[in-house]
Amino acid sequence: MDSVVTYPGYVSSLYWIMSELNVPYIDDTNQTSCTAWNYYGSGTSNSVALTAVFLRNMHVAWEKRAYPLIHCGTSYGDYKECRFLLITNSEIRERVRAILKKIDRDIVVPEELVHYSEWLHVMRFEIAQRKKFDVSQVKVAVHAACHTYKLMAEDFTYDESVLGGVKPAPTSSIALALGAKLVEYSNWYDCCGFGFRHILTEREISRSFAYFRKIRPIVNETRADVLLTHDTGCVTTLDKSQVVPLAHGYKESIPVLSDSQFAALAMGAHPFLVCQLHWHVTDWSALLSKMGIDWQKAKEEYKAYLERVKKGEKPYLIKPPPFWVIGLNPVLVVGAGPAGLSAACDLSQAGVRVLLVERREELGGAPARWKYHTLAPDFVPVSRVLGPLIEQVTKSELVEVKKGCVVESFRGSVGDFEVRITELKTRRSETRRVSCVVVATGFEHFDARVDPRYGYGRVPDVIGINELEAMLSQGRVVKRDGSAPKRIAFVFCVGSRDRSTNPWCCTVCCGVSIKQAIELKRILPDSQIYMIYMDVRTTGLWEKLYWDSMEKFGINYIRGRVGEVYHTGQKLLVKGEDTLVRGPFEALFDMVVLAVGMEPGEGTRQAASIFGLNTNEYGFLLPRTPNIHYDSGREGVYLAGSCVAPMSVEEAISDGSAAAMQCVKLMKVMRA
Amino acid sequence: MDERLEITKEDERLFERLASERRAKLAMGTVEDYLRMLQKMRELEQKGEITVHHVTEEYQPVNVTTLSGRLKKIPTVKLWQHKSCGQCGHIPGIREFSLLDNV
Repeated sequence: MDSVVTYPGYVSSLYWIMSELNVPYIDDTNQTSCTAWNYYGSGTSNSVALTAVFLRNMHVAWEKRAYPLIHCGTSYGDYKECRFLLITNSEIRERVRAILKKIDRDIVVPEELVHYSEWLHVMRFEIAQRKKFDVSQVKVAVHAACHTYKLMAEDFTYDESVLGGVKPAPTSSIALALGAKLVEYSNWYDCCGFGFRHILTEREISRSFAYFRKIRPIVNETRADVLLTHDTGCVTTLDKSQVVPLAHGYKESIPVLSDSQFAALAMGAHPFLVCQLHWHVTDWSALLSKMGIDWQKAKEEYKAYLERVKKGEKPYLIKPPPFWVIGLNPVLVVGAGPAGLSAACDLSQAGVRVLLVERREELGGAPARWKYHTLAPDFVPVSRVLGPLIEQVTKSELVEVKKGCVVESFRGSVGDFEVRITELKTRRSETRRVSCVVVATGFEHFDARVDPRYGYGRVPDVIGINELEAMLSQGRVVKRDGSAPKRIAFVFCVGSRDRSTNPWCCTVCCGVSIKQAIELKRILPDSQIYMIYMDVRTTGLWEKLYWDSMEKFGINYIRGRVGEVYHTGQKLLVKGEDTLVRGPFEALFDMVVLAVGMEPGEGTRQAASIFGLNTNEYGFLLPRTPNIHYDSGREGVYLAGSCVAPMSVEEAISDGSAAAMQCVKLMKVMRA
Repeated sequence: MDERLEITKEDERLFERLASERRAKLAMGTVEDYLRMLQKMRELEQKGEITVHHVTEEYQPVNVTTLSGRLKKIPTVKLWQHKSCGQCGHIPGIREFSLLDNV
């Protein structure tokens, strides 16, 4: 969520400070002006309408589980009055409730009404720690805004350590914390001159009051370098009201800044890009020089920036820190296939930092490695499923992606595990601390060279379904000689359900093979396709593929087992047994596609060793409870995806989400 | 004869506070009224007539004191920024200045 700052100076400075301090916040466009302008300016509004607007804003904050921080001093004062009336007057309460009902809301009242200067007050020491410029020689005068402490006087911050607890603490306290010299003056209680009615009807009173009752006495009594205040109206009134007297020969002048601008400047914020001093009419150059800020250089930088923006560069926006960051060690996600990506996305969306480690140089796991075309059973492009996940982890500020890296050691206890991560190319290692782990190391396609019956790796045009996917992605399926195949055989259960290789069922290869056969018929409509199967295991909704392949695409099925594939010189001869007619068969094909199964890969074997996880007899990671995949049996280590068992992409994505949820649950407990 | 009134620092502070409280009466309600209002707010919440958005630990609050000395909780994180409408900054009648060109 980028923050678009439209109001000069104090807002951008406040947001910048919050971002520097890593304070999450929401800059919400869904808010309404306080209407206090109307109230104080003309008196045409009324208490019920004002209170309804107040509560509507407060309700929006409550809905978003964020606490309202009120910037405008007048809104703050107005809201204090509104809350007072609402609580003490049942008639107003009921009339306001009726208004709110029209927008499906009810009465939600903030326990405390908080002005932004009070936030700066409580954060002042943290801000001072980030100070980059020495302000010890700067003399600061402070003007407290009437509406913050005179309307409902009880409810503003006073502090015994600031001005003896007699005058409002905010703004003075930040100047003191930063080390500036705070100077007092006699007419501190006076209004800045703004006065809503005056500014509308008798502006000269405002301007002359501001200059002759505030600015001149402050300058003559204190010789301060800057006048700080904490309300937009006060800043602009005290700043702009100096123009006319100066034009008439009066000499007293002082720069006027908000407290947030002064604090941000001291912390090293850019005077123009962040603090937007060019909107101020009084001369701040001496102040900045005294603070040690090279404003001339900053001015040139800003002018150059404006030129770049004119040429199309994206304007600088202050980014708020992620809202729900859980301030613990990140979660380590091992493997960036569908399950790992899904876990990383869900964790980051829940405000959890993620360290995503992937052995390969690309994200996406087997689908990316083998360039999968579409997913069964609905022919959805893989890019549409995995693309958003990859984009999210790549763009998320909460996800740190480490490609070409492996985890080499793991120790410690839940919440504070220590892992050593090594970059494969350089062998450079680093030690990181993580709170918990999601192991999502995926699978490998069965290497059919292991079973010599199929001739894979020796006989041309015998390929795996993984290789056919890549061809389908390119939209061009050809034999090694470049010609299109006319007769194509799919051999099911290669490296699956075979006790001589892998005895388990890979669960998806029947469906994937049929999906591919249909796609082949679409691009090679004259081809003849034969599916040589043991059983057709298109479970659940995948069954439609099976019937459609026969009824709509004329794909043939032979129930049998293949004993041998060899090249005749021109064709591929497939020999086997037809288990329906209980006799041998031989058939010539142009291409043979092996429905290779899924098996645990090297990454999974290493994960088992490094994270101390149990494996089953086949080498898949073994959950503590057979039907609950994510539970590794080791506290803080969760399992997801096809490192546990063969599964489809969508199942792996769900598995990743489930593991992410376990991490969130665990971290919630750790925070408590 | 020096007619200046000699008062202790403590009395001076007390006087200032009393003066502030007296000035407060110019606005709606007194300090005491305000504290009673907060009590009533809690009662209305208990009756279920209103919902109160509490400054819970989730907001990592820091306590400050108000004029009366009551503790007020200031949230420090997860803030909903209620911005100024901006009208204060755009009061008509002053020509645009930009010190980018004037300094």
